[in-house]
Amino acid sequence: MKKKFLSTLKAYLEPLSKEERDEILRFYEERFETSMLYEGKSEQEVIDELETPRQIARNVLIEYGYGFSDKKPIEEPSDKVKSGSLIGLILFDLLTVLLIIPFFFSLFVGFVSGWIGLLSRMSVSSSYAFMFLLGFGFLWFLVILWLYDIIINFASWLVRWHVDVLKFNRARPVVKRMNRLQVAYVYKRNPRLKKWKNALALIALVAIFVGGITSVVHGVAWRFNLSDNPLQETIETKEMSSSIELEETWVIESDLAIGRVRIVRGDSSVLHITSNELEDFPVTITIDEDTRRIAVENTVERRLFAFDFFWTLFGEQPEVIIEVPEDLVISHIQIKGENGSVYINDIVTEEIIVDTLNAGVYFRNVRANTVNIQTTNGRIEFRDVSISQDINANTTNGKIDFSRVEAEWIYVNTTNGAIELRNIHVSDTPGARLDAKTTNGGITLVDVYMLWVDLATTNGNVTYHNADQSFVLDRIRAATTNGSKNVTVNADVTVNP
Amino acid sequence: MSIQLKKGVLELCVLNRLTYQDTYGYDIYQTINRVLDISESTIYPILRKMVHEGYLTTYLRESPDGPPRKYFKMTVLGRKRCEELMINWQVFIENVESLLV
Repeated sequence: MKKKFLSTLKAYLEPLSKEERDEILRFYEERFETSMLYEGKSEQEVIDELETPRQIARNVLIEYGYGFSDKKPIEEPSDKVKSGSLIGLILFDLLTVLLIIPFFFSLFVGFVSGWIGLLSRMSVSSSYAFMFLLGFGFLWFLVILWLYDIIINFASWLVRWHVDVLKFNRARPVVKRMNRLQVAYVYKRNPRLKKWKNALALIALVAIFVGGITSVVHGVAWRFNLSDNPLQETIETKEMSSSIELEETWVIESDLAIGRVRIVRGDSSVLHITSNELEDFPVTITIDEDTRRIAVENTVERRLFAFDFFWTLFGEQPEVIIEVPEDLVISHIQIKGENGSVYINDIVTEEIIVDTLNAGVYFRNVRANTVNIQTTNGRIEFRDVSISQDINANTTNGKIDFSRVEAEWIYVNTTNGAIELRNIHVSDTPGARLDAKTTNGGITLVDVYMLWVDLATTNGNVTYHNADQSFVLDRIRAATTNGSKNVTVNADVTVNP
Repeated sequence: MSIQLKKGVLELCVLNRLTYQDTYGYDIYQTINRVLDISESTIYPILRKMVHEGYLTTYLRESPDGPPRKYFKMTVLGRKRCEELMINWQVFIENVESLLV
């Protein structure tokens, strides 16, 4: 209390020279001590006895021939904090907050791209499922806006708090202005927009409710044979076998709008293709001896209120299985697809390219020279994969999970997903390198013996541990912004970001 | 008593208080305040001013149970100033009284 009294007084005595001011302050300090020691008064009692700091300052300043301005003084930053560190602190505040923004941003982008992917490639007739998803998307959009407001609010609160603690009053108007960045502020200024927002929220809720309930009821009913398939789709099986010349080099191409594709090694010396397909979306199978091309494809008319999402949940998936004879030489596998995962098992080839939208990609016991994978909503999983050159695996919403993989150059990239790599080996080729990037997800490496490793995430932990501690990397860089780092490997060069 | 008048005699009172013995600021204030209702915040700047003008000097005196306190002592110049003010005061009173009668 005494301290506060004196510091307030000091602030009010700003116009005086330091010497003059200190002298007055010393008088008051002495005054406190004398009264407390010899008159047995408490700090509060002394303060009650004295005039207010403002009155005192007024009298003193007049006595010294200074004008007294009635304005509340601009209080000095406390002695303990230099203005440099104050600026640092505020920058830190802003930075902390700004780091949260990319998190939400990537979540947002990831979701929207996934959502658009789902909606734009809808095929089968389930308007209810469409309704549900559409409503969910709208609602999510509003939630993101709301989260954004919370961040801004939090940011301004944080800065304001520090500014207040440090008595840095000049910054206050700036902080106040920060709140104008909020969406809520925009609503306030445009009541019409607010009406739109409310309408959107209402539509979203109704759509979720009606669409969701109906879809689930239909789906469940169908699942338990209580009704017909809600999607009026039945799976038909079509088989085809062809004894093709094994000496030649062949290419496999798959372009399925709906349906999984499985490329596996067959037992016989005959190429065998099985298609479990939907009535409405027959699969065309082409075996072209001239171009030596094996192709499976189907297309979907883009019906707006049609959708295959729930059918993947409740129904049997259409699926194309290509059984490759053991001795057939496959030079390329090219898979394009929209809805349906990709499985490649026990295959040797030169190049594999996967470019799909809503699909997981699963490789088991695969050998190739290069692999290139691009998917949006789905995980990428490799087991026992040996690639002589490079692996390039990208997904937006999905985990990347590798185990027992060999390659010279591995590049894995996801936005909203973890990266987990175990037992990764490489020959001692110079330039062998692993790059792993994600935004919202952890990166875990166990027994990864690559010479050059570069790991980066924004919101997630980075862990890297090798059983063989004698393995020394040429170079490692492990970066996370909002996560912990636990890297125990040895490296000649460690790059600290 | 008007503030201006009070301030005029304040210097005299301070010097007068220090004629008998050296003392510290709060004590000077208390002594004067017993008779003249003055504000504490005016006395300290006055003391400081008088030190600067050479009428008073200060020194720190150890106190038995607290930190040392700043004591004021009158200088020779201060003593002269005190006498001068005393005379002025006498003259002032006489003049005023002659007007009032």
